[in-house]
Amino acid sequence: MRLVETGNHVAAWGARMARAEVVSAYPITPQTQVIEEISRFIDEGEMDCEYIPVESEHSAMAAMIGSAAMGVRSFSATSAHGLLYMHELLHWAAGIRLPMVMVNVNRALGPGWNIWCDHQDTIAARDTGWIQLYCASHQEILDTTIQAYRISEDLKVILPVMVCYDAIFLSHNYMQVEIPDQEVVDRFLPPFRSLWKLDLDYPFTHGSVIYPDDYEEVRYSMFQALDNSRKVIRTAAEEYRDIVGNYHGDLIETYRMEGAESALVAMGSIASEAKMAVDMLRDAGYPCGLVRVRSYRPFPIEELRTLLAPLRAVLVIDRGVSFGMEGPMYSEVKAVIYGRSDAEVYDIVTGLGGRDVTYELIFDNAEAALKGKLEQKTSWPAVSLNEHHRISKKGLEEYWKKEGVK
Amino acid sequence: MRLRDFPEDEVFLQGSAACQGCPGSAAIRVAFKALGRNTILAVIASCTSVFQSPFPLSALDVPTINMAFATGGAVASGITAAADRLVAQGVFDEKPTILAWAGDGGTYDIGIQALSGAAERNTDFIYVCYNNEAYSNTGTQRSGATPYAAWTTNTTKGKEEWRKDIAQIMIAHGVPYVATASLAYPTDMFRKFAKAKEIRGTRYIEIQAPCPPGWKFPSSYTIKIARMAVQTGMWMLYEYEEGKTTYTAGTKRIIQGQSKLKPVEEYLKEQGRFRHLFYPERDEETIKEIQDRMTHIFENLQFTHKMKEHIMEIELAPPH
Amino acid sequence: MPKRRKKEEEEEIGFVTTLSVPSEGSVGLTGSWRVFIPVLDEEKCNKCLLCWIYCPEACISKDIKINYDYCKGCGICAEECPRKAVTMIKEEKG
Repeated sequence: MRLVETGNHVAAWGARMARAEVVSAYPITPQTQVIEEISRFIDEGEMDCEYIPVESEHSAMAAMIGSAAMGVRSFSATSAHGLLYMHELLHWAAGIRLPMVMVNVNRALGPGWNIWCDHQDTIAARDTGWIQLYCASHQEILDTTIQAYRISEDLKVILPVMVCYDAIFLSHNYMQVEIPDQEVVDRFLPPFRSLWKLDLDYPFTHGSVIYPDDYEEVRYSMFQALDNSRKVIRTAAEEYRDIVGNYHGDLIETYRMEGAESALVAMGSIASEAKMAVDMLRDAGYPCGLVRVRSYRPFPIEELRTLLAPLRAVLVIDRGVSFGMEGPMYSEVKAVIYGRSDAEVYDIVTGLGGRDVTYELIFDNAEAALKGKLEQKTSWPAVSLNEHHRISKKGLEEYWKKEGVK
Repeated sequence: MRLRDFPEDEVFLQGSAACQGCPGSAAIRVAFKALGRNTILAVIASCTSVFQSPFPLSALDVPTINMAFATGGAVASGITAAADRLVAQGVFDEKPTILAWAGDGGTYDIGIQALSGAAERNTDFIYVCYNNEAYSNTGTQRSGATPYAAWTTNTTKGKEEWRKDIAQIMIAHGVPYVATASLAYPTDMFRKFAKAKEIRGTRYIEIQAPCPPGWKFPSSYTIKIARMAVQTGMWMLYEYEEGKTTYTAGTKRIIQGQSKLKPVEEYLKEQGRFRHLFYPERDEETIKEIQDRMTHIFENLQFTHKMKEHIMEIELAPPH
Repeated sequence: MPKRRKKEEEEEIGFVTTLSVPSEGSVGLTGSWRVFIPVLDEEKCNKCLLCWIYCPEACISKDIKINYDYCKGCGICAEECPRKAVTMIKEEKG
C-alpha cells in the first residue's frame, strides 16, 4: 500500500506492522504525531495494543521495562528532553537485558527551546548500551523500526534498539512510502522472544544488590551482545530485503565509494545533502564518495576501517558535539583507522538546532579540505554573529555596564 | 479472619539480609499471605531492595523486578498493561495481582509523580507503601513522611514540618480503595489485602513500619511501637472505598470510646529519634503541640461518631 | 569470595544478567547474627500464633518450631508472647 505520509506517522506504521502490543509514551514536540497516529490506530480497531498515556518520559521508559519484562512486545517514542529525562532508565533498559524498540526524533537541546534537528540527544545516550540506528528517509524509518524488533529480540542480542530520525526534515515532511502487507512482515518478524521474563511458574528476582565481584560480568555480557549485534543487523537488513524488498544498507550505506580517494562521513538526513555534494565533487574532478553511518552503536568499526583507511582524506560531518573534546563521530572515525591509515581526517560541526546544511556548504568544506586549506580539527563553518545575536549581546552589554562588569 | 486461618505458605524465605526486627520483611510476609502466589512483584528502591539479599540468591519466592526509585506507579502500569495483553492472548486464565512495593521515599517524595499518574489513570494494581518515616535504606535521612519533631540525620534538631499524608492524597485521586495498616494488627492488615485483591483499579495500602535502627529502639519492640502508634493516635487505621472512610481496629475502638486515647508521650519516650524531647530536659512545648493535635483530631472524630449515634436514636424513636 | 577460574579456562560468558534464584538462607546462616537466643517453654505455649505471624524472618513455623539456623535473635517473639512462653537467653557460642 502506497502512502504519502510524515516520518512520524510512518514510525507509527512501523510499530503497527511489527505488532507492538504495549505502547507507553509521553508527548513531546516533534514526536507527538507518532503517538497520535498510534492512538488513532487503536481507537479505530486497526491495532491490537494497549496505550499507556504516562505522565512523563521517565515513567514511559519505566512502563516499557515493565511490559517487556512480562514478555510483551513494547514500543515507545520520544525526543530531546524526553530522552534526557529518561536517561537513568535507558541504562536500566539495556542492563535489564530485555528487548524493546523506541523511536527518537532527533531534536536540539535547551536552553533555549529549539524543536529543530540535531543529534545531541541520542549522541548523549551512546554509552547506555542501546543499539542506535539512524534513518535518512521515511521508507527507512518504517523498515528500520520493523528490523529493530528482529535485532532486539535476537537471542544473541536481547538489547533495546533506538531508531533515530531527524526532527522536521523527516518527522514532519511528507514523503512517499510503501507499507508492506502484514503477512509479509509476519514472515520476516517472528513472535516476541526473550531470554527471561516475569514468569509465575518460574520466579526469578531481577536486579537486586550485586557486589563488585559479580558486576563486571554482567556488563561484559552486554558488551558482547552489542558485538554480536553487528552480524544480526546485517542479517536483519538482508532478510528484510529478501522477504519484504527494501534495503537501506546494514551498519553503513555507501554512495559512489568505488574508486574514491576521499570520503564524506555523515549520519541521518544530512547524508542525503552529502550525496549531492559528492556528485558536485565528482563533477569537479574529486573522486569522492559518501559513507552514511546507519548504526552508530554498535559503531561500524570494521566497515569504516576497510573503506576509509586507504583514502587520502575524510571529512566527517557532525550534527552534535562533545564539549571539551571534538565532534563525536570525528573522534570515533579517527579511532577506528588509527595506526592503519595515512588519511587526513577533517571535521565540521554544523546543522545544530536545525540550522540548514546545504550541499554547497559541504562541497566548499570538502574542497577546502582536499586543497589543504582546512585544519585537521573540529571546525564550525557556519558560526557567525547575526542581527539577533547582536540585539541580545547589546542588552547584556548594557547590563554589564550597569553592574560594572569589565 | 483469624490467625489460624492464615495460610502457612511463605513467599518470604528465611535467612534474608533484613535487619533484626525489620518491619519491612514482617509486612511483606503478611501481605503475601493474603495475596498468594498469583502475584507479580515490583520492588522499588528501598530497604526491600536490599533485604531480599544480593545476587545470585533471593529471599522472595515470586516473580520480582527491582526498579529505580521514582518508578513505582510507572513500572506497574507497564506490567499491568502487558498482563492484560497476556489475558487477551490466552496466556493467563486469571490475571495475576500486580503489586508495587515501595518505601515512603519512593512514595511520598521521588515517587509521587509516577504514583499520582498511575492513580489518575486508575491503573489496575495494588500499591503498597511500607512507611518507616525516613529514607532508611540510605541511613535515615528525612522524608516527606517523617513526623514532626523526629530526629533524622538531616533534621538533627527534630523535623520542623508535619508530615504529608499520601493516603489522603490518594483518596483525593478518587481511586477505588485506600487503606492504612499496622504490623500490630495483622488480622486487620490481612483483611485489607484480601479485600484489595478482589478490587480492580488502583488500590493503595500504607503500612506503618517502625524501624529499629532508624527510630532507635531495641529490635524486640517493632510490634510494640507499631501498637503504641495506633493507641496514641500517631498512626490511624482506616479504609476508604466508594467515597466513604471507615476507621478500623484500634483506631475504631478509640473513636467509639471502647479504648482511651493514650498520651503520645508513651509512644515518643520509647524511641531514640524523639529523645531530644526529654533529655537533657523536657521540651514541654513540642510534646504538648503533638498531644494537642492528637487530642483535637480524636475529639472531632469522637464527636462526629457520637452525633451519628445520636441521630440514629432520634430516627429510631417511635412517634408519640 | 566466589572462586574464579583462570582466564584461559573460561568459556564464552554468554548471557549473564542480574537474575537471582529464590532460596532459603539467601544471605547464609543468619543464626550467626544472634547475641540472644529465644527459648520456648512448650508447656506455657497455647499456640496463639502471634509469634508465628510477627516473626520478621519467617523462621517460626505455624506449629511453633523455631529454626535456629536463621533466627536472628531480634526478641519480638519473646516481647509479644502473651503467656511469656518465650525467653531470650544470652547465647553461649562455642
